[in-house]
Amino acid sequence: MALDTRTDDQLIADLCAGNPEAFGELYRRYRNPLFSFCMRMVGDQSHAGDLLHDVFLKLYRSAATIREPGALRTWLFRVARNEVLMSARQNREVAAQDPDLVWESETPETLLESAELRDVLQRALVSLKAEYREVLLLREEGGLSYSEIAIITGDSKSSVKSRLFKARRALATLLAPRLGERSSQ
Amino acid sequence: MNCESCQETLSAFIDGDASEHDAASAFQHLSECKVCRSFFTLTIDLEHSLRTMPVPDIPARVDHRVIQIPAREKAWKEDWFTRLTSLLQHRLSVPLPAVAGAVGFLLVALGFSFWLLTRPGLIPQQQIIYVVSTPPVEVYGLRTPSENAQQ
Repeated sequence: MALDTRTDDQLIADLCAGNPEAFGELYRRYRNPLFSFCMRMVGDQSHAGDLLHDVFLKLYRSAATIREPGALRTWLFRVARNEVLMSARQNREVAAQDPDLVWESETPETLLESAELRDVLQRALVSLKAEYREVLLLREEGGLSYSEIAIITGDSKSSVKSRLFKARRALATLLAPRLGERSSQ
Repeated sequence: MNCESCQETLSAFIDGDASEHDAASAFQHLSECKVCRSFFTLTIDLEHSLRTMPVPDIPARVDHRVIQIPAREKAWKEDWFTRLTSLLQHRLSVPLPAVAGAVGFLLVALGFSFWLLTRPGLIPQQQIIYVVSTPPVEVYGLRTPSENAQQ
């Protein structure tokens, strides 16, 4: 059977049996969403590349521990999220702040200086506080359900729902003029 | 339903994670609230923008490093003895003969200790010594007891 038609669980079994091509196929499947998640969490291409490498190194070493069927996507994003948080702790990027504050250091007004909506959105995402950014990216990049995000972040489903709403409201409010322009075009 | 809970429900509705009852209440509120209608429109536009954002380019060196993981890990496992000796020689500056001598001495010491412990009779066992003693017999001459009785 061709590798691209095999399920994640079958590929994990192949990998455990020592087939390196299964690893390549898993990388091909998940490299883009995981890299996008890491890139938009840390805002640096080189750093995101290192995180992506570490996620797949852990996959290679711990593949035999992923026993639950269909759990690979959640497992990968959980590892990616942990790597991002660990790296942020090491870089002292996470500071204790007001939990209701949605934005990081960059103020929304300075974000609007860029001409392109896409650029503004990219910068706005990076400027969201990590706990809001991660749920939004796990939803958008990972395509994960609220329950899966709750498992990854260790929060309740209602907390995930609330944080997603606040992140969207903050972005929608900030980008309202640009989004309005796009809608009217 | 107030605006806050309506907008939270609409956010969940976009993700397909709102209950039918909550969604019905939110849409009821939406028909009467301009602010929430505006929020809903903006959020849908935002979702579209987020989902059509281009995937950032992955540097070629990252692809290469990740694809090489199985080969690197395999080589690491197969090469552990070489790495160990290399580590000892280069990091700890200990010559290989000294390491071999130390390991050999350790093995001999362990083997001797094992032999001593498992050798039978090394630990003194309690021995039962039977002392057989006969009652003292006094001999009065060369006559037998029957001869004595006859006297």
